[in-house]
Amino acid sequence: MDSTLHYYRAWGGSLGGSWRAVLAIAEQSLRLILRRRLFWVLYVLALLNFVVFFSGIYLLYQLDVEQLLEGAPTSARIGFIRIRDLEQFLNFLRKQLYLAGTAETYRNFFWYQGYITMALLAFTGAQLIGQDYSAGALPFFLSKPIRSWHYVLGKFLAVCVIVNAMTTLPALALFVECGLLIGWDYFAEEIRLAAGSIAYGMVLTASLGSLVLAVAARVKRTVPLVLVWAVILILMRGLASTLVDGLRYDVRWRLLDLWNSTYVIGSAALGAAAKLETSRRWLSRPQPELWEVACVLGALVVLAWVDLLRRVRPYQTVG
Amino acid sequence: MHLVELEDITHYYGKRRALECVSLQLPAGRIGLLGPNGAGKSTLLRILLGLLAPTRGQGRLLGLDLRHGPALRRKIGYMPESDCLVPGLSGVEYIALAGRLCGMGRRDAARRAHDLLNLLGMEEARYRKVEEYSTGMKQRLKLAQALVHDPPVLFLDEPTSGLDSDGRERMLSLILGLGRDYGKSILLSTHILGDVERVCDQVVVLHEGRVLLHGQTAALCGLRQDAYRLRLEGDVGAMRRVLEKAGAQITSIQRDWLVQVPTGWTTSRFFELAHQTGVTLLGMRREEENLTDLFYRLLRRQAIGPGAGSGDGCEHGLSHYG
Repeated sequence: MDSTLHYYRAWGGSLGGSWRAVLAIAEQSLRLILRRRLFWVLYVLALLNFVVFFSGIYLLYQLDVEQLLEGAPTSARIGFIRIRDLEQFLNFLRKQLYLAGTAETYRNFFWYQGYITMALLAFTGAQLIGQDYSAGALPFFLSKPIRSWHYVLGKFLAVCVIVNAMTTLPALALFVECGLLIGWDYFAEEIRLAAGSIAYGMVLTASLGSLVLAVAARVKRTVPLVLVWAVILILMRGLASTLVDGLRYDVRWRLLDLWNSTYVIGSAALGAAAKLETSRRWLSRPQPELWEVACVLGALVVLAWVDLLRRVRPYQTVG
Repeated sequence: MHLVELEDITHYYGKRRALECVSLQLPAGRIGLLGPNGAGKSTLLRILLGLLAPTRGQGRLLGLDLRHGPALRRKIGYMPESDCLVPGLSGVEYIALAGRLCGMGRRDAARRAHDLLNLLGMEEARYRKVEEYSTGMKQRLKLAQALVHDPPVLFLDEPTSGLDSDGRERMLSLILGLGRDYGKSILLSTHILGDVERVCDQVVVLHEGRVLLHGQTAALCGLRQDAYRLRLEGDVGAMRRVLEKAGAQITSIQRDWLVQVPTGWTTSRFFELAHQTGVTLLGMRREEENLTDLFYRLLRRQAIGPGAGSGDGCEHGLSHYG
């Protein structure tokens, strides 16, 4: 017997189904992403947005209570900060920032949080799937007893965790905060907001997740991926806005704006109007019909999956 | 049960033919898959792994239909030629991931990864990132990921590629040990004939998508046309004439002759002919034809022989020996 093989031990255990591989792929992808410093930088940024909403909701509640207890005072003091016109300040918190725990609170939260999620996906897409191509790791995965869709599903699961950790989970934390501050009735009466938040998260996961995987499977490296991502989400947005708001083309041209489409569907899921009450006037401009947006977004997701599965074809794995 | 049974496997990439009418019945054992680049080795591996459906024909591996990809790959450990490592993972994480992809639980996969890395002598390197590994370590890591679920069959694609002579020898003895001592069937795809000679007991030679030869490696070695290196003194012209008349082919190498002799030749014939022509035989050394020369000689013979060219149908002429 060869001396180097004295320690070879046959494997006596049993092997589970291919579904285990999906979890393993998702875990491995997440592990690689969590080891990147950039992820944590963007995650902290995302948390800052969350902290603003969280403390804003708390502040509004505290001031409301103070107003009730002290019989409509005109001013208030928070620590060292003195608020001269309390009524105006409360209106600002309620009607401009929408921090009263209504559907608009969650809609706005998703809108701002989504920006950071978009950026994070652009920077991590290459790590998720692109490097499996560039480093030639695809044969390693596909020569194991799995099908190509197990591989894609594993990667998608990893995206799903990232997107929801950045959007849905913090939104649900805000929901819990509102419930604890406003009262237990809030949980029962506004449960649709929790469901709507989950639905909004799913829309973001399905659209952004599918798209980033499909793009990363094609362009593979980080810088080109970020550029393509910027074209899809920023340039197309600018183009749609120019066509509809500037040149007065049909409102359906806004369907080119993928980010707006997720926003329209997400807002509908929350039961809020698809407009942001901020200084950005264009956000309250007319939108296409919900079914049109849903069809375009659905078609885009299907196309992304078809392309992705085509790119992960088994015959690319050998030689 | 045969390891591989293929029946008229043909595959086209668009209009380009990669394999044509490959029919093989290979028993379990250590099999070398030989052929130059573009011979169809990789396509055949893809088909045997169940990753590529052949355009025509059918086959089985260990009794399993080639269309049952995942079930097939449970029985196969595949070591690709390319690096196929996942950057960012350590060696032990990489092997454990391979185990989990095969369906092992987290703890079992980690334990198995440590076992295999011990076996392959990577005790200290296991916690380093795979991209920091040397070529030899990468090759061993690739072998470990193929072995992780202890499959009965190993497909090894150019396992000695990029290794120095020590590394190559070590890798070949590992492969040989796995086949000989642990009963693994091995399909070794390579263009290095010496690797096949060292490890395999059977060989399949592919050329332009067709099976040129298949059979026992020992029998293939029996087809060797041996040569003798002679050093002569005297009327060498007369000696050359009688040798050529007897069917020998002569190549001059400086002061020596390299004489390729026909089958059944014995050394005493040299002494007889030398005596006839009055030549003194100063030295004689036997030189075995290596497999590379044999392979290309057989290729030339095939190219000019009656089986040359390719018909549209699947004819099974030549090919089996030994």
